[in-house]
Amino acid sequence: MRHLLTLAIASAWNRRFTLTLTVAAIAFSVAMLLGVERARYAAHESFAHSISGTDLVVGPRTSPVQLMLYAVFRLGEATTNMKWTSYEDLAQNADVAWIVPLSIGDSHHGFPVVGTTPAYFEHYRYGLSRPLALSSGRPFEGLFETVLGAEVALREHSRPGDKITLSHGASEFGAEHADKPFTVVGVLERTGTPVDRSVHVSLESMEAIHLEWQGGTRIPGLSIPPRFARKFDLAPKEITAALIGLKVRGRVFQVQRAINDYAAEPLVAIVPGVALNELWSIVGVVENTLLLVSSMIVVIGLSGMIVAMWAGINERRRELAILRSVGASPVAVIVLLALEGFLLTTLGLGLGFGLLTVFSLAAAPWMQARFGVVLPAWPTGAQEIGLVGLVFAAGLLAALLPALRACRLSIADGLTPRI
Amino acid sequence: MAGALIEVTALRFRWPGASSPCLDIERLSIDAGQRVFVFGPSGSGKSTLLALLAGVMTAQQGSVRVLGTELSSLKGRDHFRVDHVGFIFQQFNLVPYLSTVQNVLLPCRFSRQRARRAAETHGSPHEAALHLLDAMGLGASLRRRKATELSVGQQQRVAAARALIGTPELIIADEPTSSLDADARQAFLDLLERQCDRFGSTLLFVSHDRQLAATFDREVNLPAINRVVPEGSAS
Repeated sequence: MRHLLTLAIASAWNRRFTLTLTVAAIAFSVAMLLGVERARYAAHESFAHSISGTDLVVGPRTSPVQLMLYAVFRLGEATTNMKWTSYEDLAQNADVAWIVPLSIGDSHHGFPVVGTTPAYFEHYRYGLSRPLALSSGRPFEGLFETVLGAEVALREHSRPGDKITLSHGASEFGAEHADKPFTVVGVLERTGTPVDRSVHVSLESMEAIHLEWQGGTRIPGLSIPPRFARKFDLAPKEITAALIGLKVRGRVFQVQRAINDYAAEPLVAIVPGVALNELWSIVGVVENTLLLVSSMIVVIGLSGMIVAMWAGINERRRELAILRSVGASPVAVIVLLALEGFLLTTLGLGLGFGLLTVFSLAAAPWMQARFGVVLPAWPTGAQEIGLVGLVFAAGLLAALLPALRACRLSIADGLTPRI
Repeated sequence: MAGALIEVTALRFRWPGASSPCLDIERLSIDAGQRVFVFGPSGSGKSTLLALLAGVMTAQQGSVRVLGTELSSLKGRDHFRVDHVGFIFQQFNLVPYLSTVQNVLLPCRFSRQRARRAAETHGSPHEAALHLLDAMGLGASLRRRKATELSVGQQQRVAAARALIGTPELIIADEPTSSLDADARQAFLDLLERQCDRFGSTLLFVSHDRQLAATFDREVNLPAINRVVPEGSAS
């Protein structure tokens, strides 16, 4: 066995230029496959931790997935709102430790505007219970002040002190609230969650910019300058959703049931983890497709190896006959070729692994800044190990094809190959 | 070793897919230590006979015994071959990616018996290889060379050294001189015969060139003992 390995290495080295290309093809396909797997893992992790520390998300009665979509991901629009009085009721609940109201619906250049209270900055958690942090400035306090998510600040080149205007509705082309510009007072650090894309204002500011609006349109002829807005009653009447933290987590299902049975208004309370999993299963189709495509690339990489080895056999018939004459059995011929496949696959896997690691480390700062997610540089779990094992097995299996052909040829040739 | 080294009786061999046999030999016996010249024009079944004697292929009928061992029913024929038979081909004898010395050492890698015998005579297989290369007139400067960097004549001598290492009982040479010029041909033959004599190996030398037969103990005319009329030669 050892002398066969020595022979396999010497023989492969002799054909190193062709085989280097083969190994490179395998390496790139492996890097791609593992990269997709790690990206999938990282995306899932980041998705599953878009919101944490919140025990219940409450909103007007709707489907849990929809509530998650607008309350957590700030996608789409709420069709109905919940009453401010319901929110106040919930805040009084003995089980509730904290509650953060969310009022969603307006936008700034396509970025969702979130009306909330300073409690948002105190209680919102993402990842493994990481709190929000400001990279510059301070939380909003007064009217017409706003705190931007990291992505918004980056794309809009906004810094504390800048002025921005909001648009009515979620679309980029909604009517502008141009008469009431906002001052940026703070920018949040990147979180890799939808918070990065949000423009945060106080609920009172939200009311103020909608003073002269009714039923989604501006009341003609009415214009209230910002300085007079304060004189109106700016107490919120409605919100879109609320995030709740409980004093005792174990009470989550009792509180959930109580909210679902709330008499004054039809409400729904959902446990974010459960709803996130439900949402992910929808996204899962995409992830499986990606994995399938990159698996196909590995198959192509290994096909390249089969072709290279297959073509090599014709040149090696003489060599195999010599080996047969000095005692190599047909099985030894198979082993010799299988060892070559083993070498190429192992090298390809190792190199692919290295490539991916170098890439993830090198691209980490850029990816963190651009996407808020870093491609893990090290293996992420059992599924990745499983993929590596699968590629390895496929490589050996692929090598068996040329190996069997070599064996058949060398039996037919005997000691005199007819080339 | 007394008696017959090779015993062929009632041998019939047909290539798979061929309609008629290409070898039909009633009897061929070769004594141990003999130097035998097997003569036959191309197509007379020389290579096939050698493949059968080496146990690379087996006959459909009849018996091939080498060293008293029936080859057709032997399980480890490949192992038997490397233990007892040294092979020299017509050309392209060497594994291109191995050095001269590594090529000579190949049989010792596959056969413990050859390695042991080489070590017994020269201390180690490697020493034996160097000694044989010297004896075949290949100096130290050629040892580290790749096989492909040698001339054809040098390659054939390396192949002879490989066939001889570990003193196998039988050396089979299949037209080893046909790619050499006349002077080199005789020189190669002399070297080969001398080494076979030294180790007491039986030499089976196959050629279509009858001029070489002079120095051999015995000449076997293959067309005379093969009862198959080769295709094409009838016309």
